[in-house]
Amino acid sequence: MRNHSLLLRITMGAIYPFIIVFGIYITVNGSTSPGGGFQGGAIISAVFIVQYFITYEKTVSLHIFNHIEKILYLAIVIFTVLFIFQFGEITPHFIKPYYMVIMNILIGIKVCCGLSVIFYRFVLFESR
Amino acid sequence: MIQDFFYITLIIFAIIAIQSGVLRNAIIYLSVFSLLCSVVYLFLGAPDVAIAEAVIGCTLSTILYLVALKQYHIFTVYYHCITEDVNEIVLLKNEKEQMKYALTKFASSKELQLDIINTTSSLNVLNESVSYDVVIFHSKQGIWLHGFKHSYQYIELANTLKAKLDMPIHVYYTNERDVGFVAEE
Repeated sequence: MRNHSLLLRITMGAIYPFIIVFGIYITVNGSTSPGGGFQGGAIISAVFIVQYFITYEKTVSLHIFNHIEKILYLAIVIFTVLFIFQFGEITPHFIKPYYMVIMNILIGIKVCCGLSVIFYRFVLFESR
Repeated sequence: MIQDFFYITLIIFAIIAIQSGVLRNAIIYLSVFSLLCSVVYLFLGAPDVAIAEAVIGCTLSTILYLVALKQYHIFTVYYHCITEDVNEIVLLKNEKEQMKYALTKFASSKELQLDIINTTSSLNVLNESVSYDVVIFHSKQGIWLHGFKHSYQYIELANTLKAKLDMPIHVYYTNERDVGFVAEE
């Protein structure tokens, strides 16, 4: 498993930035067009999967991903509660899109961390 | 019209994925099924679900399935035919077919997925670069088997081949410490 395929490495290295841009686009525009936090996060997590196929090594820290995911879960709950306490039922119209975008971004990062953790856990630890 | 075409291919791929005897092919058929499924979702007016299906069903789950299959039940056999003479190759081909038949029988009795790879590299190169279960060197003088001592399937395989084939078989054990990818852990 030491020899990496040169073809795979170069192709994936070229595709790399496009995956990130596409994932961010889907996440941010999720409120107005098809897509959303979950789909965008899943696409961004493909970056880490590609990285595994390029290097075959554990280059990311699973602990950091775990912590980020937990913190984001807390952030989502706190943000929603604070939003409701602040505006209640009389939410101004111009604020709603910003709320959607922020929630989508938070969910996207959380899903990205979660799927990456699942993948790395599966590949590195459950394999033997 | 186009929708009907997609519906019918969807059903066909689902049936092929179930009926396929080889697990790896079944996973690929399942991935194609997911892709068609996402197109059908698009036709039915659910682009959100289509994106989710394309990302999760077609890509992530396929990779996870393939990784799981690779780690689990695949029995990798490297086959190296040591000869330069063209006439000898024709003679050895018959023996190779016999051996392939015996290997297939063994794999199906143990419910393993057999993966035979032809190679021209030496044992040292294979040890350093790939992970294998058995390496078979085949020449006019007989068969040389190389495998790991702790893998009990290897010992059973050697016994099965000895019983079924009527050519000289030499069994060797590779020390796991010598192999690069194991020592890396």
